[in-house]
Amino acid sequence: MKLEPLDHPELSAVATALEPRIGALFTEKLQIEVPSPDTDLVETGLLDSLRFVELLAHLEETFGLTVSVDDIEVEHFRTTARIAEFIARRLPRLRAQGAA
Amino acid sequence: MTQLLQEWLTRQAERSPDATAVVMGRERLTYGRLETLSNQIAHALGAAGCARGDRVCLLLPKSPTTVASMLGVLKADACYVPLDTASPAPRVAKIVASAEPRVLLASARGAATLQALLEHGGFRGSVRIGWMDAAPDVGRPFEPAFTWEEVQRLPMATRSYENSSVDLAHILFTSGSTGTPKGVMITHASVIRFVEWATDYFGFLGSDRLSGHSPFHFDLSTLDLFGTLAVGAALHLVPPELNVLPHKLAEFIRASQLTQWFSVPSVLTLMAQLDVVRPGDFPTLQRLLWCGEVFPTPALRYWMGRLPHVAFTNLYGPTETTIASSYYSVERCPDDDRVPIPIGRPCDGEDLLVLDETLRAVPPGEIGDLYIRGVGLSPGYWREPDKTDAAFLRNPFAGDPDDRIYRTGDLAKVGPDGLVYFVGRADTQIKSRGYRIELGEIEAALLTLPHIREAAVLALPTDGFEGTAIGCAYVARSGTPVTPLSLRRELATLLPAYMLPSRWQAHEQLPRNANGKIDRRRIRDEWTRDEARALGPS
Repeated sequence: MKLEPLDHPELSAVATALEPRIGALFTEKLQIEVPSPDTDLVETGLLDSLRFVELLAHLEETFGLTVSVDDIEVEHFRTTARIAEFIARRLPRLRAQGAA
Repeated sequence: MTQLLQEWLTRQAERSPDATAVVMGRERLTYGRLETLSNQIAHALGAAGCARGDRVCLLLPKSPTTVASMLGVLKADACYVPLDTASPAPRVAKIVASAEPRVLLASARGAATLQALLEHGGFRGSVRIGWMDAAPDVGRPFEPAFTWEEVQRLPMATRSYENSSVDLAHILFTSGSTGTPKGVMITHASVIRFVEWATDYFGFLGSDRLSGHSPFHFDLSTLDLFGTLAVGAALHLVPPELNVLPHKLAEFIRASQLTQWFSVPSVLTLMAQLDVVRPGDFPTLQRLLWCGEVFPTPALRYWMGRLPHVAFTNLYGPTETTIASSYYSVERCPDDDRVPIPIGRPCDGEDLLVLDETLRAVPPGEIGDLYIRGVGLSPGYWREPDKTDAAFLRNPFAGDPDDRIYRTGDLAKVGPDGLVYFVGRADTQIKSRGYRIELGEIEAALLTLPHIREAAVLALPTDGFEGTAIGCAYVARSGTPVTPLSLRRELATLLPAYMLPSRWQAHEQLPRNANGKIDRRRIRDEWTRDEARALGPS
């Protein structure tokens, strides 16, 4: 599947700013150290289904979101950079501005 | 009468060469193509020196081509040893060193591991390498004995084979308590007997579309593959990345129009937890089978409530007795979350025995050690006669010295209904997400880390969907900055992800019992009590 490009410049900036927070969430909440924002979490086995469920709960709590699992593709969660993009698209402030 | 596993493929290829045999994503092999491709691989292996009794290690990802490789190995009179491409190189190296393969088949996905094996001397003697990747120069770290391109130019005709049904078909390596994985040897005959029982009991048909969920280094995959070939059905390999997202697995079942699903329960439990199954979902699905650990009754009730048109069967049995040895079909949805699901009654040719420490049968209702006897019993552990003798005993109820029983390490009882119930483990082996893990293997790996003075690895009960969590109590060497995070990172270079502890506790020193041994029970009891207190209302 293809991801829609992050065409909105502000969205892309938000995602970049969010990435360290996603990385910190992995370290602090899941006790997983992710080597880089582009590490493939699926291929390396760092993220499995149990941790995915945990991660989803932490993301919802941290960012005040409700995510429907039906909206999630594997590609959205392949790297912490991708997760940051996924979250950026769903932040209410941006959505209100028509960016998401 | 089938004598060798590859005969099933040849028969189906003659009968319906154009039918789909195995599919994953866009890669699809018909029976005809699987037959000729596996013949070509057998020719390549033969030319590389493979002979009866040899091992061939498969450092290959899950794919239809890997299925062809497995069959090619059998047709070359050898047995295959599937390796986990996601496992750290040091662990793979131990398995390769023990298996001493004639040939190792690899592709780009395993290139990094292979590189590490070549550099750090994982190879004893002269292992030849077959490069099974269509892209010839992607990350190939050596000069191979043959390449995928060359394989495809070899004769498609059958290569005559000379092995017999008591020869090994594969060796599956499982977690070993002393830190080294042990290889379970499985013969053609054992697989054939189980698959014949399963195809008959479940009524597999050529029109079936079976799931291939388990990885090939996991013995459930043996039923997926050979159950498919035995009846000419289609095997739909589940892409491993879908495992991360339970709703994607549900989509896969729908889109592939599967008639059978077979997996470890943890996958099904997560799908239930995220509620990804709709009422009456998967209209083509007829059977749902699970094996490998206890399927929690609440999750089973969810599934049975959602899918009234599906038959549900629990299979039970360790790798040592080939796929499964007993079964129980759940006739109707349990009324209560606390109702235990039995492991049932023995499959054809198998016996379940619940015995006391003097190997006498315990009365019904009493807990004893569970032993298995019959056609599925492995000849033993690869090149481990002591471990083999400790687990495979002479049957005390028979005069024949070849009549053996296998000590499962499971505790069980026979219920008033005559069915066998699993009660727990007699040792420190645990099941986590369907993986069989020896806590001793994790401890052995921890103790190789420079900053660790002492460590105890424990199974911690959880009330959540995780089932059993792996906990590590450790004592760091003084003056070393050790954190759970740094330990986890170091351990990840030695052990696969599913073996890494998820909970950690630093200690000044570990408590010891009167014999001077680490008192694991006390650590565990105090740990669970502390956690209960932390969560409790007081």
